[in-house]
Amino acid sequence: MNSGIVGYGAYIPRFRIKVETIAEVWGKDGNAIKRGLKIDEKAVPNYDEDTATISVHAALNALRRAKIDVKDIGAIYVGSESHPYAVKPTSTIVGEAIGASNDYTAADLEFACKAGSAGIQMVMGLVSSGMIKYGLAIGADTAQGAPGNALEYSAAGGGAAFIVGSKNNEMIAKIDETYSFSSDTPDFWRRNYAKYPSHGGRFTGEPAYFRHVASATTGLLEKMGAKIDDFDHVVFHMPNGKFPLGMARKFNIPIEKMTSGFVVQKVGNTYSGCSLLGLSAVLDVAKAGERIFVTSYGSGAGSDSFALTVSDLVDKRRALAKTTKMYVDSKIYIDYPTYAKFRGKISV
Amino acid sequence: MHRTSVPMLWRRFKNKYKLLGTHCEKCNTDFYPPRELCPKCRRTGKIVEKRFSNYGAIVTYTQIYAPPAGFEKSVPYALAIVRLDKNGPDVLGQVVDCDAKKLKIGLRVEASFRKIYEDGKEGIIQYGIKFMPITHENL
Ligand SMILES: [Zn+2]
Repeated sequence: MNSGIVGYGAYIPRFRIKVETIAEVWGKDGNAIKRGLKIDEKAVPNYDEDTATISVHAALNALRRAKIDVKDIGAIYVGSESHPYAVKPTSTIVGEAIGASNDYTAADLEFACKAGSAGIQMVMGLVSSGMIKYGLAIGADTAQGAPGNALEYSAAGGGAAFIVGSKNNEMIAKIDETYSFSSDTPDFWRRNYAKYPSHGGRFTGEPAYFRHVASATTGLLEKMGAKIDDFDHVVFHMPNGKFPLGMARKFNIPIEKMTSGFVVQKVGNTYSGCSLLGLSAVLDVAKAGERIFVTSYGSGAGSDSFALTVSDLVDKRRALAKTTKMYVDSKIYIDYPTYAKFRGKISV
Repeated sequence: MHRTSVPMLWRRFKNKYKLLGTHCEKCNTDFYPPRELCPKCRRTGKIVEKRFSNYGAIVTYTQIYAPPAGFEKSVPYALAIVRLDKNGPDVLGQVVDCDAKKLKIGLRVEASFRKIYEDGKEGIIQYGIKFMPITHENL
């Protein structure tokens, strides 16, 4: 198995709503919620943005960095729980918009917040086996929480795209190994035709997030015969700021190794985009030779872990497109009525 | 009821999803949306496909408060004529992610793939190019 990231790109919508702005509407203590969740504000897509448009922006940024012929992309997978259509793929909309050939396989994926990382594993297999030259895997969402629900403080919009190839001299970061841990755990779901998701309250913590993220992480380390200390940057899925930091404490990971990919505080939980935005933020700052550990999490439930080693191509390539931080910092604050209008929370 | 002709839309995806237009090699004129016949050279013109720059500047703009059907939820929105870089054509499009007070002639903008129109709750979703202010030049 030989594969690595030849291009990566992020996209975060420009609008932000502060946690205290939402809390005020519901008569809650904004500062207490901010401290509890470790989220200050979240990214809100404009009324004309959805998973397809976010995916296209992220994919175009990945292409700028990959410097490949777009016609050589042989697979496009978009992972999301907010695909614009129930039936009709997002992935072909992306293919058309980026100018891909028609010579590619495609599918939309769904696994709560981890469908994007599952897409990366799928294209890793396709490029390693020689079935395709390059594969494009995207994780993107325009996540929504019901008005007044706890998820409303964290559910955000954004995404990241990765082009995976198998030639070592083209890799920005080599994917050394991957491992997944899955089980049937109903901690969070959304039924057909339901607008907003439901969750199992406290059930979302220990048996769901912590068990799966820890098991995938340990599983990959054992598979590689490695220690978490061997890695310079660590990203755990960020449904809020509290959970990944709790996981870091479990593994005795110093906080400095968690900061470069810790996008949740200023962006919120972008669901399928979340751990992938974390990885893209790490690639924006990582040095050649550094090692990155990423574990995604999707409710329902499962985790994909990846170990990567950054190549010396990273410095040249990262400058070719907007960095994750540039997106994080380019923001326009909105009030709650504007937020409700953008996200269709008002029925006209 | 669905108002949109899906086949007609589908034929334009290639050009609507990106700034891909046409160019008359005889009189050196750009067309976006694309034209298959040069209005000046007629049958003697030579039309080829041309990809235009994603970047440009606002030539003129207006705010829409009374929108056509289907755009009610987006009011107020800005409509602008954008002159694309590298001697590109003037293109009409919405300007998004921009405070109305910051709109001005000469404002630098870049193309952004967006949802244009939803044909009711059950019809097709149309996507296309709008413009947003450039936050980082050359990226
Ligand atoms: Zn002509």
